[in-house]
Amino acid sequence: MSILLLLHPTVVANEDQTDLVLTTKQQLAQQYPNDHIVQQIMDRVANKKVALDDGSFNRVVYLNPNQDKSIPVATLPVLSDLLVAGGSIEGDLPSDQDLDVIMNGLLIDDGVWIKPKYEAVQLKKKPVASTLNASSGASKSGLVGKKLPMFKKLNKPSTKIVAAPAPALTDSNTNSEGEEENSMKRKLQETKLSYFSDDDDDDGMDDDEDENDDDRVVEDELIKESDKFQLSTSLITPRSCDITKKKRRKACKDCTCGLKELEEEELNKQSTLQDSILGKMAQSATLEAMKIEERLKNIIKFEEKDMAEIDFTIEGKTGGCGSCALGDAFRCDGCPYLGLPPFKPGEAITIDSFGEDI
Amino acid sequence: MITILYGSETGNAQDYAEFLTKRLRYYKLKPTVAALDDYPLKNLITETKVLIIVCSTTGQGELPRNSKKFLKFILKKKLPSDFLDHISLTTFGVGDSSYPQFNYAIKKIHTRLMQLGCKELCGRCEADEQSSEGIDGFYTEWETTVLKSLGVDVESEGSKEEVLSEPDNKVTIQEECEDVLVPDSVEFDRKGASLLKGTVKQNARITASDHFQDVRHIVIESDSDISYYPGDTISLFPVNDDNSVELLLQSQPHWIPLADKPLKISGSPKTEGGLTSNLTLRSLLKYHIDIMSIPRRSFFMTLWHFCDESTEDGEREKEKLKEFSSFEDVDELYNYANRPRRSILEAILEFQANLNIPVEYIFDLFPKIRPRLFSIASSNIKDTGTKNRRIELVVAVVEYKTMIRRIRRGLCTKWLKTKVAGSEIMFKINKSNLKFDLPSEDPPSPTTALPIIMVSPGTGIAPMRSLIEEKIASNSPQPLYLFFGCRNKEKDAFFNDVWEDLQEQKLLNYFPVYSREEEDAKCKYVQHKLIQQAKLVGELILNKRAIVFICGSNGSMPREVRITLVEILKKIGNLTEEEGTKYLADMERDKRYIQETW
Repeated sequence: MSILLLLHPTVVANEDQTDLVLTTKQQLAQQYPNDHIVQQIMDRVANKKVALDDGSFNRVVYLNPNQDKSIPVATLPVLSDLLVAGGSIEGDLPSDQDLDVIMNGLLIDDGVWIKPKYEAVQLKKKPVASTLNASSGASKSGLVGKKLPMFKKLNKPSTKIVAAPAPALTDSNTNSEGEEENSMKRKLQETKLSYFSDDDDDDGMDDDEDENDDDRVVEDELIKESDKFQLSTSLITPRSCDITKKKRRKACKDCTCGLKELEEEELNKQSTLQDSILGKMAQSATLEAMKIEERLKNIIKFEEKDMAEIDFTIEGKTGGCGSCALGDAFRCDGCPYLGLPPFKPGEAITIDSFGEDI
Repeated sequence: MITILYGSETGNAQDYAEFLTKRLRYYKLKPTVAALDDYPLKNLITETKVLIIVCSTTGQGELPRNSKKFLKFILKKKLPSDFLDHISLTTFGVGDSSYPQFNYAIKKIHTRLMQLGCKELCGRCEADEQSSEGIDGFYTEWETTVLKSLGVDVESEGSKEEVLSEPDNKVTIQEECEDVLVPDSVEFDRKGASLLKGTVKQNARITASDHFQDVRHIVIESDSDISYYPGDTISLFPVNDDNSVELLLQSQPHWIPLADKPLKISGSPKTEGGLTSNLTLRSLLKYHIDIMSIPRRSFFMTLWHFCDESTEDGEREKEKLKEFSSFEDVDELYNYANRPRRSILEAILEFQANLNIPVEYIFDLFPKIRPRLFSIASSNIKDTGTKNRRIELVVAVVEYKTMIRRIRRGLCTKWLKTKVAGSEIMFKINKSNLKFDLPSEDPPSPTTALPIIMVSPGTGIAPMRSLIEEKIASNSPQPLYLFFGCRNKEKDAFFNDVWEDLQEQKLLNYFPVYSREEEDAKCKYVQHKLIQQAKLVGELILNKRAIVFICGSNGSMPREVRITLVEILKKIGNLTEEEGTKYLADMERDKRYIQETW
């Protein structure tokens, strides 16, 4: 079988690291004398610039002397495909990508990534859960054994998504079916849920200063992005107001067109009308009071005719609509009673019910 | 499966979200509705297939307060690009194109959710308050599209059934229990997080007695240690007066025998600041239910169901209430409620004869009292350098007249008037994270320190006072320039003596301007004063990298100040219109141009 020695690009770029490559190769040759060693640069393999047959290596060894050991998530399935079942990836691997690794159908055993054999039963015994910290839930429900979905390639993000974060959980092109699909869905959900920390739903969170601002997308960037998204193309706008024939009756807060003055004038007029009505009511009350003196104190009894009388104070108003007593909701535009409480003919109302401010 | 979330500062966006919820329920769909921050985020993964977001924009293109947590979460870079690929999304932005950051909040949300893999359910909408159709015109168009995309056959008669669904937060009275007398002290016994208690030390009018407006200088002493910075605000939690509560109870006689029994609310009832303890119907109405606000469309959409139509009067009233809940004639509701600023209580009293509101629906039907925010007008630093426990406010009392005979009074205003010296008060401090010095200054020296230009007409003076006190108490070398505008020197020039005094000590450069002192004065408003001082202002901005801080009522002031500053940059810096505009935009990006308006 063959061993694939993957080199991080910086290894090739620095001459002083050629020794490192040589030593590693020698060590591998000693350790696995029967295996053929193929040497490739990581990026070329990841981007499929070199043709390597799937399932042709029993071991992938990654040489990466840099501080940053991370491997793009999209590369993981490529590496996995190169392995035979039961094959392993080892060497300079990141320690913080366990979840990505698991999601790619690989198992983790003491820092080595193993492509499971299709015999699921025996693999279930592997202590997967212990290597997964917070997200152990994702491993329990049996990631092993079944063909796992393919992943989006990082280098072909949809043109719309520019500042979008790197990793992807699914490939929407995957068309698994039935039960398998359901279990995948569940798993995916669990993985998605792992992105929530407990305090995300916490009520009292005002300031979790432990999280750095650098870990967040800058709000203003989103505005710039929104142009690239061409958000405006999907905008719904109301049909022209000519069709609905609705005109605006409300003055703007900083009105300059004169509508505000018009409204104010209307208000003053209404106020005068109210004054005159209240005056007449008071007058009427006095008359009533003189008639029935002791029996009614402070109480006015409106008869239909009294109301009609008051109503006639308005020019062009017949008072015949009968809605004036019902309250503002039913009064006509320009009704002199607008702004006064409802009252009913024949029903006793006290001046008090008009409130404190008269 | 359908989740409707809203981000709302004044309740407008919330109204559209709730209205849509009720509409979808008519078509037998079962949406969940919540504020962006109240929705358990994990449910986006486990429950949500269709996500509908309605959100307004506040401040400088920011999200409303009840959506900050949501935003903070979705902004995390570690989230993968197919994180939400199971979700179909549509959004509705409530905005006003007279602001430069028109509908920025919904743009941010939509873009980010698309980055996280959401698909679009249908076209989205950025409603514009300035358009002739108003927000309503946009909404109806968008709603039609949303309904169609959800597979609702709007045309077909049978698809819609106007039935009221079970309340989300059902109120159950424990009738078997004895009456409970809930003490007034429950006002301070709320379940909300980070609430603080203090005592009002002063509540004094600072405008002349013959001035049209009553502006209060309120001093609160916190019971515990507090920490705040210039630009921070405090939330106050107003409550209804007993008289209004009693009027509402009387309007629903079947509530009266139940009023003082303990009650339970199902689900997870949300209200900012949290519920008070030992709830009864009476205390729920007093401390949480907003009956003084203007009734909204979604309110009538539930209310009309409770109107008894067995009589002719009832039938007519029900029809009217239903009209208020529809978009058929949008002016109908506007003229009845918004324009005269009619309160929910007044509306109910007008319709009470045939209204029978089931207790179970109270929490769902009524809006909840929202805390009111005020800019802090004092500094947290004591002269000795330690922190004090004082918070000072400058509050304009809201009182005005409309067509309705009775004077309109803000709920908070009315309540604050009762908070005389010695009263206890509940509050919460909100961080603004505004910065008035830039990191480049180390060590700060009089030659490199960035000057601060403050522009603040009226009660916009509040955060400026905090900033000035803070800078002086900490011996900051940053030069301070205050442009203050009001009507008359003798009537509403807040803290004029203090500013003049500081001016004399060379600690502050004070530029007051009065709009009603002289009939034909050329210099009336802050923007006029800025132009008068063009050379100074221009050089401070261009050569000394001054920070500009604008605070006050929104509307024309911030816009005109902006235009004025561009003019000054053109004149003093020889910039073109375009360059000047860009210069301000860059200042804004670098947080050197800060605007706080309300």
